[in-house]
Amino acid sequence: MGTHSQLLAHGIGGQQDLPIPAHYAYLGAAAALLVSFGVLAFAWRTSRFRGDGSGRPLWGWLAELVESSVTRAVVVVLALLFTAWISMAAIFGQNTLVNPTFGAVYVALWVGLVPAAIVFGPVYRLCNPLRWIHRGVCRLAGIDRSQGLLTYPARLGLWPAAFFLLAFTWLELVNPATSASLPSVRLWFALLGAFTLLGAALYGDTWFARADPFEVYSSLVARLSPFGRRNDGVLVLRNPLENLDGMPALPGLLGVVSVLFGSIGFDSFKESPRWLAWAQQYSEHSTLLNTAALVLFPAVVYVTFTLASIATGGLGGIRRGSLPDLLGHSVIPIVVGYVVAHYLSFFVSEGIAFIQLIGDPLSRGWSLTAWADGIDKYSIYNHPTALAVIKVVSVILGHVLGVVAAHDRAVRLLPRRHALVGQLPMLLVMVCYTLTGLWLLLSY
Amino acid sequence: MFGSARRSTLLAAMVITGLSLAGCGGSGSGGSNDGASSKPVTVTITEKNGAISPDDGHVVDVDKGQKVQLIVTTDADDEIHVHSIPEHEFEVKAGASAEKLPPFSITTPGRFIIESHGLDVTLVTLQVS
Repeated sequence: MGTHSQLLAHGIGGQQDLPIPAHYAYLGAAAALLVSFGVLAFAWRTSRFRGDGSGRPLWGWLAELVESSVTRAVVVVLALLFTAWISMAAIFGQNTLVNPTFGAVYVALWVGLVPAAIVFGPVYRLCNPLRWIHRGVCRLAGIDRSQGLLTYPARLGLWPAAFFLLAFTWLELVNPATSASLPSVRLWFALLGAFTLLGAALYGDTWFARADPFEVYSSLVARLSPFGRRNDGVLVLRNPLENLDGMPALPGLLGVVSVLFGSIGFDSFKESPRWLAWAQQYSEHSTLLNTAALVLFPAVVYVTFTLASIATGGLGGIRRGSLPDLLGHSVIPIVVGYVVAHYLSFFVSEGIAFIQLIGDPLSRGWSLTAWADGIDKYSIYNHPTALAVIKVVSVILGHVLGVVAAHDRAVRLLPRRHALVGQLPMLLVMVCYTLTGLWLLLSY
Repeated sequence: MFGSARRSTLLAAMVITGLSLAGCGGSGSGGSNDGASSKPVTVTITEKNGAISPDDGHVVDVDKGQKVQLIVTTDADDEIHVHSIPEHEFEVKAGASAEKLPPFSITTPGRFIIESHGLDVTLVTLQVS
């Protein structure tokens, strides 16, 4: 692979978007500022969101369809067949970029789980192949799957997921020779599977909801879905902001969103010509350099957000240390907005390529998806203006949702006389995130 | 439901609409020129003792369909890869004089990297718009 894989972004696909025009960034920045201070000045002063207590019941036929065991069985069987098919490609296929394993991992799983979670809610949890393995083993052994040998330590929260997410972004972003190598990808997923099943044996199936990086990422993004389940178990249609408000403030929530936001920021940053020029002077140390930068980006997000949320001050009964996680849910829409901006063209073009490749998993000339061969995977790049508009709009939309979510949480947590001034540091940090995001889209 | 937040939503909607309009205006000016008839862009690269000048992977602006010609002087045989769609690969021989490579053009907008295979570095980033 060597040089050829050198410039393949995300392991596959060498094409990069044009930078957004500078005036888009200025307009976006102005919008971010206006909306932020607009929310602070004009929005409600007492909390309105009721999280998982909110929502009106889903239309009867749809609720019936979603709850039906037949629907669920079909979805699960399809997901497991898909996993088996890709595993076959990963184990018996050839180590070339036409192996659909790469598309399955970097496109369908890593990027595709975001739209899937927004449209369908936390479906990854239902389909998670590791959960089904654990379930099967527990059934055979006659053990209660929710019980492990130990009780999961509550203060660990989502930290294991933050760790595994960072490990995945390391595989994806640090060294193209690693991300585009079949043995590396296989090894990574073998290790993930081993740790996850071991964790599940120790702590029961709580472990999947706390440590499985894809399940946790999917559940976080599902909080922006218009669908959810109410406290009373009823499937509901609800304002995504209400849904977001229902995100439990688990320890490590901020860790997870920092890793997601920071790693995508790093991915954008490392494509910029200036970084490229600087970094290739030290090309013999590129893995080390990229690893350091990959850790630094999430660390900056984590530290700045923690400082800003602690700086709110004026607290009554709440411990300051719990504030970062209590406000961490507001970074989720910022992450999703930036995911759209960063991955849209990649997802469309490499998604098409993935469909073309999945029909021939072992490079034997099978033509199961030959119908897709005629589609031009690069056609989305012919619309640079539309791409630029969508990018800026999604970044700003994510910012707006984040600011509103944080505002509502702040007026609930902070004493009334302090609620507005207390929000300022938080708001400034979010504006900084969005401006940085826009700057990255300029790819200087 | 949102009461007073409606005003800020409206504000955002206005700004976003403005943005979209600005975007449409922007594309009109560049869209008509496909660049096919304009002068070729030349990029001069020198490889000496394993170093490259310029060695910065700097951005070169190119119009869609405009010819690009690489002029390479090297003291060691090398392969130059243009990671465009479709890809272009050129072999260059060691020699004292500059070698003019066959011109090529790119019709998909985006950024593409030109790379030295032998030295494993990015020489130039072509920005096609």
